[in-house]
Amino acid sequence: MSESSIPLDAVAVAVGPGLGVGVRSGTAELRAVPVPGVAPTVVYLVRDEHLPHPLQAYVGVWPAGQVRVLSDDQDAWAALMAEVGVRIDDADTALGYVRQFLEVTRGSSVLVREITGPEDLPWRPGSPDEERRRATFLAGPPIDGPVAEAAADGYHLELTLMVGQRVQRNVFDVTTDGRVSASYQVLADDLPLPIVW
Amino acid sequence: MRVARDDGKRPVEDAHRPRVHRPDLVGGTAAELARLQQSAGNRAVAAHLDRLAVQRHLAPSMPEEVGEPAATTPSLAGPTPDQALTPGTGTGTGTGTTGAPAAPSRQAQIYTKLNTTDTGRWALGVIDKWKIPVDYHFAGVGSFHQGGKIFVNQSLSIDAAAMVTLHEAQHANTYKSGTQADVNALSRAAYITKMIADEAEAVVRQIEGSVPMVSRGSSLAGSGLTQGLIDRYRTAFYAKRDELEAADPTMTRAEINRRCRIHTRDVEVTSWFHDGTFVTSTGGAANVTYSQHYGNEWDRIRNPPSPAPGGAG
Repeated sequence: MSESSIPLDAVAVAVGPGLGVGVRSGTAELRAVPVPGVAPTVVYLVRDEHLPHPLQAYVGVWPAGQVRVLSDDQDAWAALMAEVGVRIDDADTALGYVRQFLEVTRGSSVLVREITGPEDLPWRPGSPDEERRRATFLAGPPIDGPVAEAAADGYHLELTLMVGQRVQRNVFDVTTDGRVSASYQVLADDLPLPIVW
Repeated sequence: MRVARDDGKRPVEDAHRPRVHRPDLVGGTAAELARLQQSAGNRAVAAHLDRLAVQRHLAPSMPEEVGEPAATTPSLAGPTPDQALTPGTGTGTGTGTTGAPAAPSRQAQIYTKLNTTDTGRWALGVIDKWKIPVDYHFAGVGSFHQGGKIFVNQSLSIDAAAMVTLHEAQHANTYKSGTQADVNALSRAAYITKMIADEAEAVVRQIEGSVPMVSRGSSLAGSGLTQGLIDRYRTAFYAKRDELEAADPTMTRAEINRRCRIHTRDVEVTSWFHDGTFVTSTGGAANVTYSQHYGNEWDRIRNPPSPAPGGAG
């Protein structure tokens, strides 16, 4: 389904007032978001920069035309993937699938970024306590890079993520049909990192 | 309360005074203000900020500012769908009041929380004065003020929803007062400055109302505020307090607090919209600050993108 054929009214209703006004007036941008392992285009980014506080959300379009917000809703993602079908044949595809899963389902006011080293962190000025935590974190062990490898029933992945003001190591197990189970360990919290406002 | 003056005209009497070179600022970044302060002094800074002022305050928020008594009832905004649709128990067809009382609605819980602080009562006063509809069950994206209405996401806790209301009430008050920045009328720098001025005031409102709530056990989670931001605010506030006390030991506490609030808002909190502390949700890895965002918006108004070939996208 191309951007020009998605049901705009359904998108506007799904995202609600604020972003929905821009969808109807045309100021909001709709962009297809490819998901590795998923053949049809079923995920779209809806973004309106013409607001005092810009807004964006990812929405899923079901084969029957239903539209649901996927941002901050991992259950909706799982339901959509089960509906449209996922086929993950290799570790690279699994890695791409999980990266899109993380971006699409993050909370709209939570920055989630994969990092491979402290140089990837966009530091901001902090309070004395935040600066102390930053120094402690930087003096700690190096940040591990991504891991993506085949496992018995699919793929095993590990990523280090910036999640808001936190850095964490996430572990994912992904089945070949796209089901994701995850856990994480917090490496540092309350760091002087950007705040979505 | 200051009155906004946005026409950029200088007072007539200026023409009769000796000409003093002053930096020709139309903006108000922390660096620009510091330069103005160094070259022309504090009065020039104050006069400059006066020209840029929106609906802002010189002292901590008080409900009397919007004509409200010190205590405000949760029902002051009148019946809302939230209250009207609160489910009852039983069949609801009799005249008695059997059964357990219904739990307070989400709105009532939030209003009760707001009623515990001066700034919260100020926010309730704004909602009452302007008859602001507030949707505390908003199921869409984010929480925001839009066109005289406030939308607070249903996913927020009672604590976070109350704290967000403090912030959005400031924007609603500015909008209803007609002092909102006009992107079509202002220069680029003045537009950025005025938009950020309202944001900074809203952040200060939020801090002033949230700190006493947190001291009584409320959580900042989900409110946008962090303890780090509150600590930065306090550090700047207390540094200014020490400076004022040292300079004039006879200055009253109220005057010190008034000046500290203005200074902290206009220097420390304002810097957060420029220095990468606050970024937009849409900027991705670019970490778009609000000074960049408002500048981009001003540019877009004057140079709209060309339509895509072949029609709508």
